[in-house]
Amino acid sequence: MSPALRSRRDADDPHPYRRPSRRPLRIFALDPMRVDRGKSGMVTPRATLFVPFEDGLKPGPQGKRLRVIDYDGVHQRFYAPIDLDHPDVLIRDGLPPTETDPRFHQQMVYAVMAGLWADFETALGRRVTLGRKQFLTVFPHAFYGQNAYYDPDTSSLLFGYYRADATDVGTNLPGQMVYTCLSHDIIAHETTHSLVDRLRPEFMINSNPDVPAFHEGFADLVAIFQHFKMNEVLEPALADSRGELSRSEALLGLARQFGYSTGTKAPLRTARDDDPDPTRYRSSEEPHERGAVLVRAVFDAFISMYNQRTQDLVRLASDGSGVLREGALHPDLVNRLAREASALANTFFTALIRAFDYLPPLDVTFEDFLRSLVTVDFTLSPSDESLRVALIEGFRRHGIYPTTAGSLGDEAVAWGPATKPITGFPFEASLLADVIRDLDDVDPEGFEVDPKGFDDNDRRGLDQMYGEAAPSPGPWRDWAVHLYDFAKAHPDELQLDPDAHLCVTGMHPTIRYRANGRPTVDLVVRYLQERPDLATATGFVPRGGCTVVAGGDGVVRYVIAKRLPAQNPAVDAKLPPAQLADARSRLAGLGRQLVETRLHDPGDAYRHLEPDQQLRIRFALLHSAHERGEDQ
Amino acid sequence: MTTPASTRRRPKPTPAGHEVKVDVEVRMYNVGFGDCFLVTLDDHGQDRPFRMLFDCGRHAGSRPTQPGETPFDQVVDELIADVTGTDGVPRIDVIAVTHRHRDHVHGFSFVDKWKTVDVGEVWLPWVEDPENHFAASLVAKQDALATRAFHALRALAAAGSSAGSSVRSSVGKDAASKGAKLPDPTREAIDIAYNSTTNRVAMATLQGGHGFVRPPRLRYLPRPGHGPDQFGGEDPQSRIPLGARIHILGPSRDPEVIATLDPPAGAAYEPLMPSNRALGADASAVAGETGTVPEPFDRSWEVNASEYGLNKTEVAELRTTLGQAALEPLELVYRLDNSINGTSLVILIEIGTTKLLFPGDAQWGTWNAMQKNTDVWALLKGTTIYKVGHHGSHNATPIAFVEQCLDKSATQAAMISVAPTNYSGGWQDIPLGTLVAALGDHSRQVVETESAAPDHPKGPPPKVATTYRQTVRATVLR
Repeated sequence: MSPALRSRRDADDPHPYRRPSRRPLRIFALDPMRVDRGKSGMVTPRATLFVPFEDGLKPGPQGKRLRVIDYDGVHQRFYAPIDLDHPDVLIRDGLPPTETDPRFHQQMVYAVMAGLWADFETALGRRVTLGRKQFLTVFPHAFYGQNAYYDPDTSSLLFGYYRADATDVGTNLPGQMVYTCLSHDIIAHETTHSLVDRLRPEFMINSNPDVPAFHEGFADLVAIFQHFKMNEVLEPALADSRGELSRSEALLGLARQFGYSTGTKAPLRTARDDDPDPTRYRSSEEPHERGAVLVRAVFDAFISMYNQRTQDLVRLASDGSGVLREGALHPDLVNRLAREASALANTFFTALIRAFDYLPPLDVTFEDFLRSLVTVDFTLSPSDESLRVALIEGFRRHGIYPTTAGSLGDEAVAWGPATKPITGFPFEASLLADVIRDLDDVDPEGFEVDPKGFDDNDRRGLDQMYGEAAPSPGPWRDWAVHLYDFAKAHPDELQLDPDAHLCVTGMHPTIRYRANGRPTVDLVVRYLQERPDLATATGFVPRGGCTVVAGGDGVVRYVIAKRLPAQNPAVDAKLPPAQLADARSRLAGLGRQLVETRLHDPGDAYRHLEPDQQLRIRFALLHSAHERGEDQ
Repeated sequence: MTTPASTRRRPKPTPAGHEVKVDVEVRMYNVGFGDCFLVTLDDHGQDRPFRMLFDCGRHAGSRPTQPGETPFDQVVDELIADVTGTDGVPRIDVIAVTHRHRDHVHGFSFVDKWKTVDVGEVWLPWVEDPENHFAASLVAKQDALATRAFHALRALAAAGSSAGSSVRSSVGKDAASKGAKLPDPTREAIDIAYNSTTNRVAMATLQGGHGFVRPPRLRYLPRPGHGPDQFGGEDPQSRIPLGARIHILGPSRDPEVIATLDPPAGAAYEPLMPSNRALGADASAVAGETGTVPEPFDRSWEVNASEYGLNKTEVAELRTTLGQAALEPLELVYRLDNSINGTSLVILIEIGTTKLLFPGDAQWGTWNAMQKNTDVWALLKGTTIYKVGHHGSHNATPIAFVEQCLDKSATQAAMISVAPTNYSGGWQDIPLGTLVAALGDHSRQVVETESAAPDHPKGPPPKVATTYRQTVRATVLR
């Protein structure tokens, strides 16, 4: 902050201004590449994002959780950082979009990331902190190359820059410098990777083909839904496509400049799908290709909902015929369509993010995601079934079936309530205030831990279990111990192995609406187990666990489990046959996934990984493989 | 074959259904980490046996197999002596070069040694055909990338610790998190890249027309339109013993399989690459230079770290973070290595019920294609001698092949040509212990030129001087 500005905020000012809650920042709405709007000419859409106002932002910008450091690893130099609190910057909503000033690049990366982070928190209804990782370091010009990725080990985001293809680059300049950090979609995609890693760290284990595909598909979904937040994109796109969402490349395409500048004559990916193919899901192994099936399934639902919700507007605008006249749409109609699309996109976005509350702690499948989405929709809008029905249908049309649900009815597809009532879920009354506060404040003591040092079954050895992240002595730690005891006392009900290592990896509150429309708070706890004793036989450390959702009445509502065969055969012998078969097939599936992953890993012959390092997802490689066009 | 008619002597026709004994010998030269196999088929009906050589090379990172053991060029001498007839002329009927890696071709860069050798034919994978445009561009891409990676990595290594921080293996990363000592991956990356470069001298010996006593016939296999291809002794031009058949099972010409051979796009790895490929500059012209990566901004934007409020320690930490997060050079060279392995010739020699399988370093793409072809898979069943793919590494021998195609009643030997390398880390899995054990369960013996692990399940390695010989007597019907 400049000295001039700071002096006006002195504490002794008798009439201090109220702190703003938002900071306006300008960005390229999509990327610097122009969009052909026909008669309206070539346009580069720009937008202004209103991101949470962060006090004490240092040049970079460097905030509490996000720090943008423009260090170029190839040329080994720092580029001048932006001071977002400088009056010359403040007065015009940040620097105007430009490719030539690195400080605008930093501003855009920060704006898109901070905005998306805030949107995640709004959707979740609680703060998302980085826990042990503390902050995310962002390098807008980290290296020369057609890649950008999130690195979980160092909690950093790296963006590359490169020269565009020399021949066919659409409306780009052949050979021009392209900056991945100026692509809204790439920033949103990579930020989503980091947030997903925060919400479900164990999704970094590539335990089935859907897991890496889920990362990719989910990040694309988030990036594309963000387009609908920006009227600067939405209204022109609807006007140009005459209200037909599905025809708009600007809205449904992802990373246009990246796609065109690498000579593919198209956006990098698209949610558009004119001809759903239910076999593609089974036949697609490459993560982006498989993830695209998820994107299309969700957008299938989105477009059908949009059509449902706008058909009355179209009829009104067409004298009841439902067929619009030729020529440009009336701006009022475009405006109304945009509002519908935007509101609906927000509903979808919220459901997508909230679904995490009901996802298993690891080993996610598209089916799990569908079932969680439907469950969320029940909790958010108990009386309106249209969204969940559209989702079930959209997934079905793309070959993703809720096979474990037994039926396509929305009640069946939602997670089933725990089979027998499980009571006694531990609450710490003294922490109630903290829990409520946690919904909208910095996490005081609540715990989200990475399961390091798993080797202790003794619940008293929490320090060993959690390492530095162990809750410090006090009520939170007591609660962690009680949650551990609860699981140890109810292994059958929670589908856990009574003998295998157990860890409580996270707990957070969540709001839901009852059927009568009144809100209530639930608690979501994640348990993780592992079987290092199988490592010698399998070559990897099998992991399982469950997500438990409990109400304030101490009754467990859902157990969403990924079971492993038990260490003690006697335990398995008592299991319901279906559960046992499920556990065994999971273990076999893990083995298959390992074989499959290793077969496709070029470095496999030379690299030696310890069993507990096997099956880790590495985004840097996923993304660069993608650029090779292996999935085109 | 192009053997002049005067030197060719076919056996006298024998009544149909007559059984002929063929002595089959497979000789595995102890080259270190590399391949060199000589197959001799003797039906005692020709003036000399039919000799076919599979590869001759050693990896740059290969350690001498035993102290005081034969240097590589002497292995070549020994090989040439082994094929020299009573008239003093060394003769090889077919040299099959499975793929262009140094550890398979380096022996041919001892140019003078080969000038005295009479070679009938040289067989190469079809991707080496200079007249095939697609193949030529594929090889050019692989070669350009390997050359650039090689020079870039060498420059990085020379630049010392600051740049070296980004030259770090995944092995090191995982080990580091466990507090273990970091291996030196730079050397490994450089050597793997080097292994993948054109090996121009060796290839010139093979393809140039002047490498041997007379220009051998060059074949790029499998021939177009043949799918799996084959050559047999019925061909009067051929010196392959009557009744024997040589099948060419790979590399595939299927576009889907070929797609996997395309090397990684250089641009994805440009942090390493000191080249202006995108600008159209000649990659080889910048070999060895650094700092030619285009700058994203004018130099005037550069500032001191203090502008970010960072002190020296924090800057060092930042560099470490970026270095650790940066894409590892090794991943590039691994991919490149794979894309060339994927071009491997896969050759099966069938003499009656005796089958000798030489898959080069073929990996999953080729194996997958073979498994999907039921005729080919049936042919592989009951393999007598298996040259274990890619020195016994994990993804060059599918477990399905071991379980379905090898068995103790038929399989005499699985031969692994391997040696310790100069690298710590993952190379310890070559050969892969579990694979060696599985081969042991499905064959009468597993033979390694050198055991990589001291506690090897098969006990101490055979103490042959430089070669290992496996002989079988096959019967063909004529």
